[in-house]
Amino acid sequence: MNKNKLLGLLILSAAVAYLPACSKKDSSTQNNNTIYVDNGDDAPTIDPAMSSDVTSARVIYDLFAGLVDFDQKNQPIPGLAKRWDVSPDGQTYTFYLRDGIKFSDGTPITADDVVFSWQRVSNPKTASPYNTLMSNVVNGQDIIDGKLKPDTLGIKAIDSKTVQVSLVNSDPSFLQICTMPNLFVVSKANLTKHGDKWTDPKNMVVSGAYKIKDWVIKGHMDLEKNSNYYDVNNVSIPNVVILPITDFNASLNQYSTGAIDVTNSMPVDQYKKINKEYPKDAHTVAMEALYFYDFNMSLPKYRDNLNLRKALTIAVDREALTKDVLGQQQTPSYSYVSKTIEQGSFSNLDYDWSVISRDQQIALAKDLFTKAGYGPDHPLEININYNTKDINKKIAIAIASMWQNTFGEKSIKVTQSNQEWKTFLKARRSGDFDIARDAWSADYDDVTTYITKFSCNSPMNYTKYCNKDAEALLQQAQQAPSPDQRINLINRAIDKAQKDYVIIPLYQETYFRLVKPRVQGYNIDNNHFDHVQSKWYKLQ
Amino acid sequence: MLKFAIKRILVSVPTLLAIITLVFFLVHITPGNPFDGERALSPEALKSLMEQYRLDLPIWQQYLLYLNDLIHGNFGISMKYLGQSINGLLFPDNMGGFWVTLRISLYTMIVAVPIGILFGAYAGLHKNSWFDKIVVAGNIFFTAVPTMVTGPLAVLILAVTLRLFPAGGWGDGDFMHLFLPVSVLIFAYAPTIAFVTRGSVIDVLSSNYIRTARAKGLPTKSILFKHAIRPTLLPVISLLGPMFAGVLVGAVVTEQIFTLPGIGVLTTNAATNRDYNMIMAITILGSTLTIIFNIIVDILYMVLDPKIKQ
Repeated sequence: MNKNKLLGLLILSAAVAYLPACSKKDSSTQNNNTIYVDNGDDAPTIDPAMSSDVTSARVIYDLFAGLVDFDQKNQPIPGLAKRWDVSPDGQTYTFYLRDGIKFSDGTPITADDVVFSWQRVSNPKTASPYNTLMSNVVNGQDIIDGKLKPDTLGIKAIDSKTVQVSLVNSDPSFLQICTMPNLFVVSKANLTKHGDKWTDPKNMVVSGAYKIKDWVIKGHMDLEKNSNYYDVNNVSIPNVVILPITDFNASLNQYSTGAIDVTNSMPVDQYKKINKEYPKDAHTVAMEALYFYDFNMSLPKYRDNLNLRKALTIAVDREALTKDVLGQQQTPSYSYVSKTIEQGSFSNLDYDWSVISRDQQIALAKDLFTKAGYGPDHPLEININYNTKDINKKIAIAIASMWQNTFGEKSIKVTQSNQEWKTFLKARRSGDFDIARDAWSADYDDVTTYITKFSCNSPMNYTKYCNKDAEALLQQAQQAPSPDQRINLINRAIDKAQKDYVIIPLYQETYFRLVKPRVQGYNIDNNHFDHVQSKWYKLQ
Repeated sequence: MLKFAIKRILVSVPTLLAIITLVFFLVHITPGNPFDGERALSPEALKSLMEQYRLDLPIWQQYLLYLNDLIHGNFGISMKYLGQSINGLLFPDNMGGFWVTLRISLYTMIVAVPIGILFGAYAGLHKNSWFDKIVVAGNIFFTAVPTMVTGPLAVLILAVTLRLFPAGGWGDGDFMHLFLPVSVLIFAYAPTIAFVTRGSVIDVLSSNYIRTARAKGLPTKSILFKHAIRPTLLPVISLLGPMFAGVLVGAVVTEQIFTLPGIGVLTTNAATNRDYNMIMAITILGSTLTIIFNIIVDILYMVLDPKIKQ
């Protein structure tokens, strides 16, 4: 074989390698029947009971429906239940299901399915990460603790279309809780038939607006309209393709070539450039989520020194942090809860010193630091512990330098240690830290969602702090006869806890997303919880 | 030869077992557990999950049960993708997981190997020519500039700016979607193949027996294709075995940049999520592939090198 022949053969073999795959259609070709949405990753689970992350929730909102649905401001609206009654003591809710509602396989959705779905969440064998949602339902906590059987849960089917739920305490946020994906309704018959395999798309029966047509993990999840959905006439787009793009740059590239209609997140370092390039598509939305630091209150250094905790809290320049370090329209935070939760009912809790000038703040912090017993002769050593992530590192460096600038490098020595995610979680949970990064996203529009971060005995309270007076006020709030009194009592409780300075509030987070102008019906700027349903989308 | 292959396979079993044992105990002693999250699980729920995944048992028992599952071809259930089997995630019925990675790797090697050998051989035969210098410089350049750089650059220029190709995704596994990722991988691997071939050609051509052949007056064509080609290919083949195994389990960056549903991206977060079963499966898959390719290389060596045959 001569050289030319050999070369020809090699080129031919290369071409043949490519050929079998040639000439198929380009999937990015878009039409009005399909919308392409980036969800940032694959859903770890599509079982409503097991969902505990935003990625899973985003898909479950499309696949399943609950008794109560939510609007684009995350407020409860009728879902599978057309209406409900609340008893005068607020402890009994009676839900009336819509007529003729069906699962995707055409079988009727009955009160039995609702009872089954809720009992399943409370059952420790299911191991739902959100089983605490059931703790205020009669017997809920005992079932979660394994003391009672799930069928004793305070929910019963009065008839095939009526469900009654009994609560331990009246709870104004109960309807909000009902909008959580964990309480969405699954088919008892389907789960009984397929057991562990019920979430396999081949077996899966759903109650929501869409059902799964195809799912390639790390590729795409193709959804199609569920013709048996109760509100199918208001579902505009027949097909939704959910993409699991983890790389922000890859998502931006695909958006710019028209392959995606709605992104999940964007590269932070290109924030200004993207805003300039896509002024109409780019949305920065205040999120119902807070970023803060925890003091380890089991350490005498912090536990016995309020002045020190106060000095460190005041010395942080939150304006500089949000504007210069982060720069994505985050807002400084001076309280343990956000200003936006429950329509601003807890917006007057900012620390007094938040309104004084920065120079005055520094003077105050310095004074407290000296009173705390620290200075050049007795320097303070601090370690900021965070999970490995660029943004956490940036913030830790900024705060360390703010402390050093305020108190002087000879008076304070700040070190930082980063740990990979799971190691960090373990260290924080077991109290193996000095000051730890923390953050919390509200699950629903209720202030108690933030209170779990500092209330006594809460597993999410990593400071290991407990203010019994604040706790007593919170207990009273649960029994409060009127909504105003409840708000008043909770305000007092938070104020009391805040005066102990166990958390350093830093800022309220935002999310940054691109939405193609052809996508209508998605009121993103008011969606502070970032709970989204594809049925809202319309395509021009 | 069959005897040799069987012997090699039998020898590789303890190697594989040693790897499995080591990785199993290493991942299990790493702090943190698969079900840790920002939201703490209730003790009863955690207990139930630990039971479901047998994590409540003593570690030696877990190990023996894992080996038993493995013998039955079962990699277990994922701890990140709750309820999904690792076998299903790695080898799904539809086009994803290993099948995607395999296709990309095959296309890459089918193009990169002949081009690399051809370019390398030509450069070696024409040592110090401009072509040779390009091959050497190309190897240095693409070794120094990884796919982490060439990938996004290719996307930026050819997809985002010129709009010639999609910026990512698998599509239907069509030419347009595969062109960029496969090309990036070809540029990552072909220069190395070329460089090794070049070195080998230069070595062989300057060896004594080739000089003797030349002295005897044999025509160049006969020297190259009869005497030089076999020994030239030996180092290239020993490079290709681990390289192919490397592409199959190591195209992580490329898969991430081009958002392809291969096993690379599937396993990126396995370690951070403490998805023990996924980490184990990937390790076993990677080790098995490396062992298989090494056996193939050894067999090819036997075919090409009579000295080894003896």
